[in-house]
Amino acid sequence: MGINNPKIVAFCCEESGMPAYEHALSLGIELPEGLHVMALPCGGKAETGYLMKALDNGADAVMIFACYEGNCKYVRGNIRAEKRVGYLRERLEKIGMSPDRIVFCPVAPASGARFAELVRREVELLREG
Amino acid sequence: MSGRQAVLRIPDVKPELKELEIPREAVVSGDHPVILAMADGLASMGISVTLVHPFGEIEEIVAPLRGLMEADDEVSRKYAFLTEKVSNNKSIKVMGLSTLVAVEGWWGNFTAEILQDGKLATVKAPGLALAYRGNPKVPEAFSTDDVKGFSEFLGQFDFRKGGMKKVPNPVKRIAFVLDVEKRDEKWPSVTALRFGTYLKEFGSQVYILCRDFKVSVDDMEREYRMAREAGVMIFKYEDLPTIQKGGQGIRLTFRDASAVSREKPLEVTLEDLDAVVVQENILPAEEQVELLAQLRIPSEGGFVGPNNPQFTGRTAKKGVVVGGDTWYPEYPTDAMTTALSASQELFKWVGKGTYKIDVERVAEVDPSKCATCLTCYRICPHDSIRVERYGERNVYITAGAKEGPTWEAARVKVETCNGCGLCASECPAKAIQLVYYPDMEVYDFLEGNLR
Ligand code: SF4
Ligand code: SF4
Repeated sequence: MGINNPKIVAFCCEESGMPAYEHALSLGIELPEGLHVMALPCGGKAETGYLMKALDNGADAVMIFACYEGNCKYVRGNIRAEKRVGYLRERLEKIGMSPDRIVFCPVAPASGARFAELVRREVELLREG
Repeated sequence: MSGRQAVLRIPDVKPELKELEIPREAVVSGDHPVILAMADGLASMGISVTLVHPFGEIEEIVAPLRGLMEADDEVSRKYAFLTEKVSNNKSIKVMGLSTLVAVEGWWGNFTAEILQDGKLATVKAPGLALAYRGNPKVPEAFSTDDVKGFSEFLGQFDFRKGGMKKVPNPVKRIAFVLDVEKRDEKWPSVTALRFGTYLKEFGSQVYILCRDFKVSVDDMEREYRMAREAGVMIFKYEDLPTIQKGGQGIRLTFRDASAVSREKPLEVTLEDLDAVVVQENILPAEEQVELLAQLRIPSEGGFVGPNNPQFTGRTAKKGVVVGGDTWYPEYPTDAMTTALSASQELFKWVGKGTYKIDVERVAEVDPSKCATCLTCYRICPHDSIRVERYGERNVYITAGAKEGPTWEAARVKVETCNGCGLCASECPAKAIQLVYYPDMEVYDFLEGNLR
């Protein structure tokens, strides 16, 4: 069963995800109202508790926007985040939920278009259910 | 510009500044000739330098003079001039027959333990510059007498100067095997393509075997096309090729898994090769392994290069810079340039005398929750959190102090913490918070906006 106006929480690394979000706005790209944007100092700060709390509070999906591998200001924060997401996706699957409710998305700071595209794809995925 | 979305930004806290005095001093150490350039560079910017080297005489530092490639006369003259300049400079204290064995402390207050002629000496230094020679080693998994590393192989040709043109072509059939170790290194791909295309002009047969071709480098698509047009053959393998001595050379056998034959992998045998070239690892000398690990300098692939994506010479630890051998063949002049920019980077940390640091943008441990599990210590990319005895908020109490509350707990070193929050997000006891951005802000936002 699909969801029409999904609530999505986007945890955004201050170095890549946030600038990408702002870039998307500056390009005038329409982003869904159900998107909730939260800045973090590093993608690696998106801890398990935050992600689960977001789902618990009614988010339909959680997206983590962080830097590409090798670009992390804090050396391996993005890798930690990606590992954590992989682990949580496995857990979700085990308890019978769709793993696509938590996704890791590497973005460059000036890739507003990609940011918007990833959000759009996630919305579509949730709509199809 | 703002959208219609609910947004939580990182709180804009007023920085709480603490002034630090950092003496203008540094220890420069290692066995690579560029330590001379580092010492000279720092001294010329007004830093007092202790130069620690393992040789009997200072002249020996530059003999033999090579990066991963031989030096020419002009470079040798440059280094000889540097040697003289360094030995005559009053603000450089030279310690010969010495090795740096351990480093304690943080930026501004390192204690360097130096083994000199069998005796242990300690030197206080606010900053460190290190440069080591590396030993090229062909990866275990693919090491036979017939396999050569890139630097050994390319060392035969001075191909940047077009030296090939003067000598008869010594390689008729050559295979580059990339990705033997599953590291994402673009240099070998680029070099195999360029050098392969170049060798084609001399009538060589060139094969490139890889797991995944990396074209994410400027202009690479074009060079890739040119290489293919020139007749360089590119294969994809999944399991490492097997290598044997054949009739007139080396034989490589593997299953080609490139797109054309993905359904039905093709058994491929390359016969009569006169060279097989792989990306070697550049390993530090055994005595250095422990020190490098302690300083969080990744060493499996050379000391500078892909380890420091942000800035050449920078390490994850404030106040420590590196130069020296890279994981790709390098001219001694390039090594010198890298070392000089590393010393400029160090100048930022030790050159100004006093510093203001923000003690708000840091993490803080609640010692009553800490289980002393050392997770944070292992996670922190900047070596800024340790498990120690500690008193009030981030105040360290020396062992034996009786007054006030003391705990055995993790402690954040505010001078070097970057406030990234990695430790906080991995602490199993939830004992760590970012002072400027506590968890409550995130939870409140989620509660208030989602429900
Ligand atoms: S991770 Fe947490 S519990 Fe473990 S030592 Fe660090 S602060 Fe203490
Ligand atoms: S916040 Fe980051 S830099 Fe500071 S102690 Fe924790 S992991 Fe290290």
